Amino acid sequence: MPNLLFQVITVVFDLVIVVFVAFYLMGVRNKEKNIDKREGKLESDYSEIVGNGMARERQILDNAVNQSNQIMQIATHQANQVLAGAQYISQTSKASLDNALQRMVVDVENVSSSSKMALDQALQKIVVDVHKEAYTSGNAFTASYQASLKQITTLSLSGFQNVTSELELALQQQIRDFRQQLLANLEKEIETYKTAKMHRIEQVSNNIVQKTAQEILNKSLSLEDHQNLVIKSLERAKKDGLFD
Amino acid sequence: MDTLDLSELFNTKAQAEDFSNRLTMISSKIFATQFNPEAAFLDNFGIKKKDAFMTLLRNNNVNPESRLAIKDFIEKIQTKIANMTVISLILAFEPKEETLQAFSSWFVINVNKQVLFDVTVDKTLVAGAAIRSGGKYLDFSIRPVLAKITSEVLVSSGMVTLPQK
Repeated sequence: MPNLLFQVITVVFDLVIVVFVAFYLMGVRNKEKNIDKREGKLESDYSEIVGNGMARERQILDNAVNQSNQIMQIATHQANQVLAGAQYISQTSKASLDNALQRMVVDVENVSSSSKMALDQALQKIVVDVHKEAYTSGNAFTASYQASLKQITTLSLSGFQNVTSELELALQQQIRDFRQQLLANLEKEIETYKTAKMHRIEQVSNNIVQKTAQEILNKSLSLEDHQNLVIKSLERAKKDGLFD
Repeated sequence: MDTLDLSELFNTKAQAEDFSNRLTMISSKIFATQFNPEAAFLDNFGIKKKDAFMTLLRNNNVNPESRLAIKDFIEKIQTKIANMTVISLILAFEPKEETLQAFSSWFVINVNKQVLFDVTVDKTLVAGAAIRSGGKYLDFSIRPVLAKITSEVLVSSGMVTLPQK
């Protein structure tokens, strides 16, 4: 009996669990549907907003292009007006300038003829004055230069005479010194050098003669002569006690 | 006088050293089976010196067939070489072997001993010899005499003057 009760309780409990799981799954299913719906709505809203933005942008660009065209037309028109005005002013100015220049040329010609005459006269006067002044100055300068030159020549000549006489005295003194001291030393040195050289030459001559004599004598002796002379040398060495 | 006359085998110091070295070489092979004394001397010294050496063996009563006797004789010769007097001879000419032999004989006859020569050639000696022995040196050449004569001739002829003392 108790076993059957336990089995009934277990079956009931299992049924409760199954029902609970079924309800839970249904809840999850409903939530998923709601999410899908929301997603669809979000997508449709996004498309609408993007479309509106694009349309506005296009409209703004069109307006900007129209406005720039209008500005360009106005600016062109105004520039044309300014150019036309400038051409008019240029033509009138040119005419006025030509008139003024013609008048100026006439005035200058008049003034020039009268001024030229006055200038010629003034120049002639200046030339005459300069000529006179130059002649006077030249005479004065020549006289002054001649006087200075004469003075300088006199001074230089006397100075040069003094220097020459001093130089002559110094040279005479040096020649005297040279004769008294240097020449004597020089003669002595030359004599010493001559003696040394002569001695050296004599030495060299002596050596040459001796070497030649040695060479000739050495070659003129026969082997037998050499041998005999060595034997004599050995005998002398024996006498001198070299082999004791 | 010493009976062991080696003057026919060598006269100079260099020859004696060479002879001694060759004897050492022969002595080292003397007891080899194939050793033939006469052939060994011929190979090392040539026919003339080989004959002189064989004569020397006979004169000194050494049996040429006895290897031991030959070895003893070789040692005796080497000892004599080591004790020989060396005379330095400075000559004015290049001496031949016969000339050196004559000088060596002069020493054997006049000084009763064989010597070794250490020969140098100096042609400025003209003739004669300068000799160095036992730390002494004497010039017996005619170089000083010739120098004196030529100087006197040059001075007397007026070509040179004597240096002032």
